[in-house]
Amino acid sequence: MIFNSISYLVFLPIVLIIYYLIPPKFRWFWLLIASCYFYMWFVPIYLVILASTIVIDYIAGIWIENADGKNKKNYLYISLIANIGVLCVFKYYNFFIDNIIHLNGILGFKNISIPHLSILLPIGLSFHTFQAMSYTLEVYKGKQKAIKHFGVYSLYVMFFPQLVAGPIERPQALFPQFHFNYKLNWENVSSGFRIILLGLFKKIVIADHLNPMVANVFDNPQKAFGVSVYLGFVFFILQVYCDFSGYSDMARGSAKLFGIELMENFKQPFFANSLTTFWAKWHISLMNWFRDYIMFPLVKKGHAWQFVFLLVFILSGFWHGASWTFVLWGIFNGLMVIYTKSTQKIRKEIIEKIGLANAKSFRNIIQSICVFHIFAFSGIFFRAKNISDAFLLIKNLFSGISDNFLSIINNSDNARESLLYLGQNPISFYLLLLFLVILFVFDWLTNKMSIDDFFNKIKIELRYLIYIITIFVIILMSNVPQTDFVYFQF
Amino acid sequence: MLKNKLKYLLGAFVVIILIDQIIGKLVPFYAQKQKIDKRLELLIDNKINSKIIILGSSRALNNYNPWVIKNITGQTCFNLGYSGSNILFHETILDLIIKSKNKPKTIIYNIDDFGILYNVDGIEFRKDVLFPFVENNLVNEAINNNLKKSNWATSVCQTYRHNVNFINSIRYLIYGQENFDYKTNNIDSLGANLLVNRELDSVHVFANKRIYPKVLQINPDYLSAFIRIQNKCITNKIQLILCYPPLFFAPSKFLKFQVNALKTSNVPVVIADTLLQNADYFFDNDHLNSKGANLYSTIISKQVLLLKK
Repeated sequence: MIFNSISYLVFLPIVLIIYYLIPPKFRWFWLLIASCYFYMWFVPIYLVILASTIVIDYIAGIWIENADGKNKKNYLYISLIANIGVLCVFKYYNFFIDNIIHLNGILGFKNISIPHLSILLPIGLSFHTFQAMSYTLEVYKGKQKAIKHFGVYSLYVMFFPQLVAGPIERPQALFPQFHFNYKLNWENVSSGFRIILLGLFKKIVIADHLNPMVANVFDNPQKAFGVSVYLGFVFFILQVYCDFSGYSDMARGSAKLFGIELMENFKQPFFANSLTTFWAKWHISLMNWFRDYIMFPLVKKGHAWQFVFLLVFILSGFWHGASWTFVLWGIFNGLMVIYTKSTQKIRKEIIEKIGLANAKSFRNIIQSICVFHIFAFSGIFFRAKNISDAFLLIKNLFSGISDNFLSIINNSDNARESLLYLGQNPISFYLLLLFLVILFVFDWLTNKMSIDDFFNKIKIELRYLIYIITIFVIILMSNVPQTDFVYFQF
Repeated sequence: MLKNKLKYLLGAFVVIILIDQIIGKLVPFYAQKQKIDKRLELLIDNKINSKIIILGSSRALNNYNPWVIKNITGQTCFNLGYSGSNILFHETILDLIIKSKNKPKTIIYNIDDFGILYNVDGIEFRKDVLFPFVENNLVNEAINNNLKKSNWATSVCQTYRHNVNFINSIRYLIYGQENFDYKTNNIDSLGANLLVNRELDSVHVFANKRIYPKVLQINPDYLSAFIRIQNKCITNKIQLILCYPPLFFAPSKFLKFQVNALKTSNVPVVIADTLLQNADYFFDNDHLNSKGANLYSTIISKQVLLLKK
């Protein structure tokens, strides 16, 4: 089931009403049933895969806690191998096979035939395996007690608001909230509703409408040049932001209705004025996972920070998808972050020399624009179907720009529609720009305060007016076919 | 405190219902005004009362002159061909015809050489034609199936039902009616869009040949729609006539064979694809001009008369 569907609009209130009607001690069970139903909506059989890793991690958690020395490590390995093994089989197997066959061909060996797996990737696999691994890792580190209640542990992995696309929660954050002694209160409901509404706005009003424009460029890379390529990757990154942060908002809002707080996955990343700040604001739960379980241990072992950064970004790229384009995406971003950190001093000196040290606001704006464009450019690797498409788009980006501008100004041969509106009509295009501006203004206003604080500060009449307008904008703009969330594929 | 909040909630709910009703009226009103072609409006309002109806894509719209058919057969005729439309769209139009108060006696269904059973660029389910009429339940269901919208939600929320017209109604308020197009919406009072002389396009190669793609996969949805169209006509006692119009390029024997094999045994087929060999009768390779349409309509009319006997 997806959050932006009518089914979810029916599912959520039913689950919520029954949740508050039943005694707290049964609520975990009700949420678990609801989560199973939610997950089985996609491909029912994949519940078996999820259940098997839940059983392994649950037992491993208890064994790790009770064991000591080498055994403790061995049990952790069992858990990690089980989780990574599932990932390798379902997500990476075909990728490895393709590369083995390709390498075999390059080396001039005989043609070998290794069968491919023709199975669908279980939805949200990378998210829940990472969440499961963080549990056994934390138990191993002694920072989390093993959970004896199998149902509650299962709910930790399967809690439906964050099951298929995160945020990847830590056991210390979620288990203490699983007492379920919550009372239905106005603040939680209105706060949850607001965040869900914001998520729906991002997904339906912006991301779903950017999708065909982005596809127009990335599905026909040989036909896209100059301005179109530029708009293609800029819109793609805005699409991903609205799609994924929209999903996270809906997850947080839904969880809040049940009294449970999920972490923020995005904190206005496009206002970051350096790449290092940007990565602390973008897909926070994943970056924190890599930071705590890969980066810190490796740095502690004395590895060069540049190597560790690059490795983390490559792994992050590979986490996203079994394709060399994602690996390149990771390498590009890793190198950019290394460059940023390495040149921090020199850049500071340059800023002082050219007299921009005192123009903080202006500098911030310029830096944010640069950060946005660097990250958006990397989106070419993220979205392109293959490496050759990605490089073709990069090549095309620098050709025909002046011709494009002339054609757009003159609108010769209806050039605006193909080059500027990327296949859409002007009204849809400008409406989309308007909604993007509104979103960015809202992001800016809530940059230094929570969404709840922002709404509590304004008059109740205005607050309701904003709700009503947003509801109607969402309904009116749900006039394109419903699309899955971009991050569901991971 | 809670009482006050509930009051606001209730007030918001009432306002939402009111706005929903207003949007449900305004949006389709402007969207319908935006369209030049009013044929679907006439059909839904039961204002088409013709014994013969022509159905199909642009070849139906441009190749059949209802005035000629009317004069020769003595039966009223109306053209409901839509440029760029596929067989699933034709089925929806047929459903609307069957549901209307004035059911025709005969339907002339124009067969496109490939678009009828195969996926062809530029041939699609013309949602845009149907959008302004989603108030009609049948149209609404067809749109919902196509866009994967919830039928239940469209019956509860007017804004959701009519959101497909949102952009077009804004477009009407800003720019007025849609652009006039000589080839697609220059509709006469009997629904036809006849074309004069030849297309003025320097790039266009007007030659009696076309290379057909060798490998094409039949679209199973199109195939079942083709069978359903025949069955619906039989059930509703409508005489269906399948027609291959004249084409100015090599005819497709393969497709003709397939359609002949798939048609219900008592459905007559008029094959006229090689009938007109002179370029003077054609607007372009695929469409007749008015001179060709008049001649072809005469031939079709005679066939209708023959079938009547």
